[in-house]
Amino acid sequence: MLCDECKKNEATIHFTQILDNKVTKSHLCQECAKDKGVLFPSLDEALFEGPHLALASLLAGLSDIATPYALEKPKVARKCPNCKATYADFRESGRLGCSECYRTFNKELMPLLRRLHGSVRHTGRVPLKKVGVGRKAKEIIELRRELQRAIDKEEYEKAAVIRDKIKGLEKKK
Amino acid sequence: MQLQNMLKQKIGWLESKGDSGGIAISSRIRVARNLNRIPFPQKASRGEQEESFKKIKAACEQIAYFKGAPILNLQEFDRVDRQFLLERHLISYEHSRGDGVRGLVIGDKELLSLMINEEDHLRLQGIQPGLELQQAWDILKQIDEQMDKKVDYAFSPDIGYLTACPTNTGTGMRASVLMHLPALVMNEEINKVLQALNKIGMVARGLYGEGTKVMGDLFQISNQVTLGPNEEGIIDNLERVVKQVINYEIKGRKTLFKENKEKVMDVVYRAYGVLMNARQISFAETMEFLSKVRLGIYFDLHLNTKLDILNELTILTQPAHLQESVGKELTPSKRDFIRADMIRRKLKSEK
Repeated sequence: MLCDECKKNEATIHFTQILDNKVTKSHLCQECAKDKGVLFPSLDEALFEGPHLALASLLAGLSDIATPYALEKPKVARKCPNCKATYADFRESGRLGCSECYRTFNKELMPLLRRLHGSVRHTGRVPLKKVGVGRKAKEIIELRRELQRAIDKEEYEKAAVIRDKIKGLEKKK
Repeated sequence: MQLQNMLKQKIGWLESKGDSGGIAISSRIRVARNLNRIPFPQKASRGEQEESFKKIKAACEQIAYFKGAPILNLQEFDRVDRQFLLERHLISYEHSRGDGVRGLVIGDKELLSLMINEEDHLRLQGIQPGLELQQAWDILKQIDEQMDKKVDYAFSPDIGYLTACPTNTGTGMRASVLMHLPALVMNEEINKVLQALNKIGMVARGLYGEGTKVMGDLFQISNQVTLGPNEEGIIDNLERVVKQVINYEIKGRKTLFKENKEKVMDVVYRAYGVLMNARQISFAETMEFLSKVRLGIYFDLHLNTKLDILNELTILTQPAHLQESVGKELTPSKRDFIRADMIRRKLKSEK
């Protein structure tokens, strides 16, 4: 097999990678592999695209998701009172500063979470002794699970009753 | 370099499980957890990083499962050691290269591990051989529960566990299965499969997880959504999808063998021939050929080896593993030489 690049030499380096959700196979000769940075500086380095690429693509995705909201609100000047992070910090790094940031930037994060996950309602595990998470919160989470089950089974009347129960509990919070 | 002793340890998740013909190699689940109000590792000052490290370390020392488990401070380990831990799937790429106060706790047979101060304060990971997501979760859940009694997890009743990156918020759970899909690569159906996965909220990654390359036809398939469904839902969903992919792969293998038997046999025996005889071989090449030999075992082509040996070679022939095995840093070409030697010895020992 000849090299994909120079089409002259025998291809000795064969590798597969995922780009834009497509598997691409490449066959290169030693020379072209070196030129393209596939083979060296060192092979074990080349095995990894590295976190930069992953993070960059993630951020590209995030900013894309956040854009409509960012346009509405070009500047979020608030600072997290706990860690002093700003929303701009998050946009830049893709990471929040601390658990309190979720409260501080709640308005900005909710649409983002909805776009990422299709939901902003946790139905999974709850810490056993969580401070501030009382019996009521656990009850709400249990009810949300029931609600999902009812919807899955197309038991809409039952679902409506559960929904109202949740609303009632949430109001009391 | 100080992790040579680990080379002798059995890796629990490497035992081959026959139930899916070696297509689902291992099942992994990780949950991301953070300490309430303490800045996430990337934002934390050194002092704050030390604080979370100490808190989590102290909690681990009180958890029976981790009794006697090594608690490593990654700062004390050199580049080769960190790469070695990455190659064993105990830490992520980010954890292997990043600076700051970072830790790793290694459970018995490496079936459970805990990263401290990676992207989140805590990343608990459970791995099992074959398609055993539920089993991995059962163990992980218990440790998470015990940890929860000892530290104050960041949690919101509305949106669940709070993580540094919103892509993990909610359950903080990423479940994944490492799959060997050579037939789907050969018949070029893999792209269709990957795109389909994407549409249903799943994602395929390379051998070492996020941002890493695909080698030896090995794909890690995992959930993307962490908020909304509960943990059991995420696991059930992934398991169902993985079973479908296994069926596609099996179908692909059958067709391949029926329509191109000679070609398949040629590819397999050539690969076996190279591994048995090469004097210099790169890791990427090794992975390609091991993949074909694996396929040969599936087709029962009477190769003098078995899945366990191939699994072991997949781990042992990695660059840092080779360097740990000889106790010194080696140039890539020197590694290629030692690798070829090791492969020949391992394959011949089976006769």
